[in-house]
Amino acid sequence: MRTKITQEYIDRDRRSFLDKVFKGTIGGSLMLMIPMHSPLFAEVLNEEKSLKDTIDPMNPNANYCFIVDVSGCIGCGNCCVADRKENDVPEGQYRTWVERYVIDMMNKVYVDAPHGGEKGYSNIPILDTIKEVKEAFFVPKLCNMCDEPSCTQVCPVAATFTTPDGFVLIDKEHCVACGYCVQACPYGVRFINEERKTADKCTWCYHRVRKGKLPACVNACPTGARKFGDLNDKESEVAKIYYSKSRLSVLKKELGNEPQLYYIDLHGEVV
Amino acid sequence: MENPNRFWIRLTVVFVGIIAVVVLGRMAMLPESWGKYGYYRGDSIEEEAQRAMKYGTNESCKGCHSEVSELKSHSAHQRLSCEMCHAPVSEHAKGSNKFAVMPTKKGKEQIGLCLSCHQKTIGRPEKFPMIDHARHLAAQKVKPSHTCDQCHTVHAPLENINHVKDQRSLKEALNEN
Amino acid sequence: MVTEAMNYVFPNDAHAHWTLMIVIYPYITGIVAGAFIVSALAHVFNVRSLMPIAKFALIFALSWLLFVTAPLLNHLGHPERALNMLFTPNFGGPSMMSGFGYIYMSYSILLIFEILFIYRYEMVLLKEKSSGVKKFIYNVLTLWTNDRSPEGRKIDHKVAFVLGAIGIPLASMLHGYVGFIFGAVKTVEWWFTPLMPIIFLLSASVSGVAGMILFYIVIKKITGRMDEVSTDTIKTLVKLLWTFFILDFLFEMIEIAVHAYGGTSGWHHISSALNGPLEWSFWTMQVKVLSIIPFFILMYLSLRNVSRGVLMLVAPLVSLMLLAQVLFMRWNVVIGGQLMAKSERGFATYHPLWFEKEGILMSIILLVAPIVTLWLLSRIFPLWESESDREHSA
Repeated sequence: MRTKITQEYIDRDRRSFLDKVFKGTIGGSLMLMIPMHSPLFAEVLNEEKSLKDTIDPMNPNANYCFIVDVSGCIGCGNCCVADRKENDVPEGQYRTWVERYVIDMMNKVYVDAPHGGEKGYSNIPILDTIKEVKEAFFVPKLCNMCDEPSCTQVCPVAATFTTPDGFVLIDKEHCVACGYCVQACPYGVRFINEERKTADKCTWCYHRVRKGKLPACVNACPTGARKFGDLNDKESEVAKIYYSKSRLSVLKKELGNEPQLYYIDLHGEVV
Repeated sequence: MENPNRFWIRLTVVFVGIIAVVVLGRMAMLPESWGKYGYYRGDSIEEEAQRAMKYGTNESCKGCHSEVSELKSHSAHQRLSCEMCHAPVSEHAKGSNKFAVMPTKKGKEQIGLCLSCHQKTIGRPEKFPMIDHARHLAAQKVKPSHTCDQCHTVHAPLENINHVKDQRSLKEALNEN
Repeated sequence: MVTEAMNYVFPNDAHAHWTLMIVIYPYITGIVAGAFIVSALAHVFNVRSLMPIAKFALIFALSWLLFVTAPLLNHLGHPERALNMLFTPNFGGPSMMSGFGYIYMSYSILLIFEILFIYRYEMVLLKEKSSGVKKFIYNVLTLWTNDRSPEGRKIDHKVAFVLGAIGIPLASMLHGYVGFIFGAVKTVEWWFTPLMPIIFLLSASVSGVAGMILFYIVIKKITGRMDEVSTDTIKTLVKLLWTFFILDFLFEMIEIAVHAYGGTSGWHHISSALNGPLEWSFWTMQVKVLSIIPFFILMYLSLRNVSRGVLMLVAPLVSLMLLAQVLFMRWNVVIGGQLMAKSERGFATYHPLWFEKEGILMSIILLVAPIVTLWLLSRIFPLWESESDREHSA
């Protein structure tokens, strides 16, 4: 089995390589300058392992945290596209979205998020209404994974809860879809999934995290504006930011929900 | 004469019966793993954890496409997710077996894809490389129908351009001499 | 000063989630609680003038009680899991809604037991006159007993008295609790006030008493027995309605006043809603037309010695207005709270359709169903004071 894959791999690679050379495309000719690594057995083996859905045991000692670097977000919407596919989110409902804040010289605030930012942004209609832009930025939104969640408190049937490793999840086999959690969530991240008819929300891709992978949106973000990791792992990117001089803030702090979603240098106008 | 207490005694029995139904019903209906970790159905955690991933990581692609991976690793696009421009790996391969062709964006679609990040848009950080598409094409003196990859290799956008620049400066240097 | 220039709501919150069903659910619950309080005034506090409708009040409460959960079940995404509320109630949170399941169940048992004790003697008598299905129903309801002794009737009255006494706090809890479901949501400023349970309780009493007046007179009118309507009873009910309504309206206005005086950013949001999408339903309907006008009418009816003819015409009309007032109040609370979007930058929308699952037609059906049920129940439980009741109380 192993040899077969490798052989196929080499064949195909050789074919494409020769293809490119013969067609004379630049990419192909560039290949000549790159030292060719022959595909190693080990690499293929690694590949096989990484695609397998091996689940890691729950890690109650981890302190998972999500950090959004607002200054890095370019509003491309790739996170939203990835999220929708990864989690089968019905059209018109959002586990995550990206808002755009535009402040003009009169200090008027314009906020928009057409299709939750999923289809990207254009200058229309903002340019029609604003003469001069003073400040503009994008703000990705997702589950705040509160330490004191309002949603688990109000659920009448205990179908949403905080796991021992700190994720707020929904038991979709037990949820009655009363919608109380949707009302209670201060951040508007919950909705009643139209297809399943149960409450739904961002899970920080719990199913990926337990397989040692980053959440789909973090993986998809081209600029690294979305960061995820374990604060107790001092080598992780989030820990380095968390324990640095970066100014971190949370949304709607006054409500006392203690979110685990932090924003770097968040503008005070963001709700 | 019937015992006047009979009614309320019977009704009390009914009442006890109702309570018994609730208590027994709860015992019967309570999910097995209830209370395993807390006051909720413990198994739902593992059910969620076992949910299949659709997106892999760039490591998933590297195994078969090491040439692209290598090219990308030195470029401005090094942190981009392959699946962002193509599609989730689960639509393309299972394990190491390919079962469907990965879509590659061409023509207008490709331009749209590039511009979804690089079009000058209000809200984008100034430091991020952005162009006004129409103006960019005009400034570079190419046809409006030009696609991005005719100058920028998509996996390493400045590779060719830097290469050409290098050669030009080399030429100039030679000419000067 | 930074100002909002755009209506922005979070993408999941563009429309209200809690529909008309959640508007009529507290409405129905309120009528149940209010009607029970009327019957308790007669049975427990021995208010003589309310005796003629003491039994009617119980059956009236029961007919609405049977439909309390109907709008909820229609709203749930998974109604087949509704019993999870009783089997795995989240008392740890604690969830206000899960508490409601138990309170509703306890209250239902109590009300039905109260009715069985009050009607037991009468049912034993009726059993002999009836046959077939009806006889069987009476047999079930009397649990196959046939006692007619004075001792038995004494026990009935004692137990009914105790149940009624327990029922008053329970009925208050039933509806105060519904208020708590809203009042405990800190996310929605329009809901998050300790006054919410009190307002709900008082408005429940208003709708219950108003419902009693309206249906008492209308049923008598339809059955051609207007002469049986006691002026004394209606006068007492009108005074009771006025009292409850003054308190209800007072607290509704106190809530607004405290919010407005505080002048927090929350108030800015509330006031822009009250002067925006809620202007008609709140200021025009709930406050001006359906509160201030009924207040003066009730004041006139309560303080002046009006003729029987005027009383029998105006009392049901003003009751109808107050029933509408409470419905508008439910709308303004339930829908209004959701329109004030969590983005704090605009308003969500809600436009119920006639024929959707949780739409207008369904709401009308669910509000008419208790009335039909009342008619069905009246075939088994005679609504009005019988000869034997009068003998006994004399």
